[in-house]
This record gives sequence, structure tokens and C-alpha cells, in this order.
Amino acid sequence: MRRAARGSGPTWDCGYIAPDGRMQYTATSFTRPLVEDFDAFVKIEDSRNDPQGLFPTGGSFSSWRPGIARAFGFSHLFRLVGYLAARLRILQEGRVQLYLLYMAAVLVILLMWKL
Amino acid sequence: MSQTILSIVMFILSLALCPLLPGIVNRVKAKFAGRTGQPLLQKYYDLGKLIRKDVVYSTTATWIFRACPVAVLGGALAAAALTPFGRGGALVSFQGDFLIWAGALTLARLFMILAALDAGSAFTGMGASRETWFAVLAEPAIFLAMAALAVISHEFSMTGFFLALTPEATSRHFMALLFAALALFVVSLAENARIPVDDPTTHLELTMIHEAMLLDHSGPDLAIIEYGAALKLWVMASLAVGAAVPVNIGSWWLDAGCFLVGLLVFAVLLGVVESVMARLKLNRVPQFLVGAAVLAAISVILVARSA
Repeated sequence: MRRAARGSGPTWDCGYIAPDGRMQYTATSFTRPLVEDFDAFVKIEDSRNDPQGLFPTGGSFSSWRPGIARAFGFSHLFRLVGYLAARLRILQEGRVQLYLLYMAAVLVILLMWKL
Repeated sequence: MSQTILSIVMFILSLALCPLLPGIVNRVKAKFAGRTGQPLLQKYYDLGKLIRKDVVYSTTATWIFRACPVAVLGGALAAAALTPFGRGGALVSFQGDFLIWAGALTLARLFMILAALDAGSAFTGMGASRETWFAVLAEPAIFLAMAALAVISHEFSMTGFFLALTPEATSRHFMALLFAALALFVVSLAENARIPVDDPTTHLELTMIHEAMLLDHSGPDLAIIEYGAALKLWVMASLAVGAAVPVNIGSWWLDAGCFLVGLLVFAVLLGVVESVMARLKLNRVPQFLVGAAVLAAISVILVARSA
């Protein structure tokens, strides 16, 4: 099986004369069909700006996948925790004497409870 | 004839005869269309022709592209070494070998996908994306069908699965084995790029998935990949035939003969399916594959109830 000379040259590229990275499959487009099957969980959001007219000047496309856990679950939970934490900030005065008073008060309560 | 000798003989026979399966399929399709069709040995002639040709690599290709044929052939040979062809059993078998079997075929597919993305054309990228999509959906069906076989045979290796299928075991679990064989048939349609999942004859854009990934390969590389694809078809056909037809009848030549006749019937059935159906609309293919997985799940439920 004597192999003939190996050549390196342009192969069929769908007719694009000068292909670059933007005309190829990215990670988002590669996984798009599969992710679309799971759209109930992932929630794809596209924003597209299609080229208009015969000599279009520009266009854009971006795709974002928030995911149902982050959009509907965790973001509410984090907001709740942030609200509670903000209310508790009243205790943070910045003065060491107040913190020592907190500690003394807690110790007194614990001692009373133990007795 | 002892087990090892039979397994070696069947392995070598499979390596030699696997290009015959696409020939039989094409002949059946031609007969359905009223033509005489290609000679049965056409694939051998094609492989010979491709080996004698030059190779051209794309200017954007890296080592992945050149490594792809090696990986495809290696994966197919590893899977063939692990597949039991009839009663002889596999060349190599151990507990849990079906996982390595699936892994070897997946490795071959991984390199095909990487090489397709490496070729730098948007079209091969499209083929790679769709191939990944169908591979993900076909995998549960394979493993559920193997799970059904594992429950029937109480074994954990592929040789064990099929050696336990004596005629009386097949008649006892008839419906479950029928469903498992049907699921494996549908999966082999998907894995080998046959109608209704993909069209192996056209080279039109947007109708090819497996052929799109092959597009940039040429010469001996293409010959190796085509041979690997034929071997993969033979391997998956062996699985479906082994589930449907009892291979542990008694005498070794009856078993081997039954197995080969079963493969012939599989190829004819494949040709019939390719002739009477058109390729499915792409949105429907996931439903088709999940349907195969559901069939395999039903088969598991049937045997789990009676085991």
C-alpha cells in the first residue's frame, strides 16, 4: 500500500472564499440541538439583530442560557438571604464596646438558663 | 471445535466479510427500485480504489485530522474483539466488557467529531453537531437493551449474555427479547447513519450527518474510515441478531450458520427499511430514538418481573 504524495491544499469549504473562525461552529452552536431538546430546563434566550436589505451594514446574534435553576430557584433564594442579612446589619455598629456588651449579655442569659 | 478457535475464526470471518453488508443493503434497495444494482462486492472495489488514491489534507487541519482514521479503525477493531459473534463468544471477554465496547465505539466517534471540527468547514461542524445529538439520545437505548440481556442471563459480560440464550430461554423471554432486538435494530439505524435517521447515499448539504463528517477525508484515510463504518455496522448487527436468534443450539456449525443467516436477514431488513421510508424530519429523530429507549425499558420491565 504505497501511498502517493500527500498534498496539503484547500478543501471544500461550502463555497466561502475566505472562511474565518466566526463562520464555524462554536461551542454554543455545537450543543444547540441537544440543549433545545432540554429547553424546559435550560431556557435558551436569543437576541438577534438580522441584517436588513440588499446591502446590509451589520447584524448581531447572541445566545444566553440562564438555566431554570438559576433563574427560578437560586436567584429568589439569594435575594431572600440578602434581605435578611441586610436587616441584621443593625447589629453591626462598629464599636468594640457594643460587641463586648453583646457577649456579656449572652453570657448572663446562658448562666440564668443553666440555673 | 473449541470455544477459542471458534471465536478466532468468527473474528477473522467478520473482518473479512463486513464490507459485504453494505453491498447486500444496496442490492436490496436497488431491487426495490426495479434496478439490478451494484455488484455485491462493490464495497471491496471501492476500498481498493480509495487505497490507491492520493491524500489531500486541508490547510487548516492539524494532527487530529490525520489521527482520525487510526482512531476509527482502532475503536471498531476493539469493539469487534469484544463482540460475541454467535456461539463462539468474543475474542476477549471479561466482566463489564460491554462498557468498554460502548467506550471504544464512542472513542472512534469522538475522533470523527474532532476531525470534522478540525477541518475548518462549517458544514462538517454541522455534521459533527448532529452526530453528537443523536449519539447522546441513542446511548440509553443500547444500555437498556443490554440491561435486559443481563437480567435474563444473570451475567455481566457480553459473551455471557449471548451464551445464555438457548432456544428454551429465548422462548421463555420471547417478548422481552423481541423488544430488545427491535430497540437494538433502531439504534443500529441511528449509529450507522441509515434512513430514517440519516441518508447514506446523498452528498447534498443539510441531508448528511455521517457523510458530512467524512467529507474532508480522502484516499487511504477515507478507505480506513469506510471500512471502520462497515465493521461497526457488522458489530451492531451481531448484537441485534444475537438478541433475536438463539445462538446456543448445540453444534457449532449450526450456531455459526444460524448467526450468518441472521446477519443476512438483518441486512435485507435494513435494505427494506431504507427503501420504504424517507428520512425523518430532523425534529422527529429524537422522538424516534427515545421511542427505541422506551422499547428497551419495556423489555427490562418484562424480564425484571419474571426473573
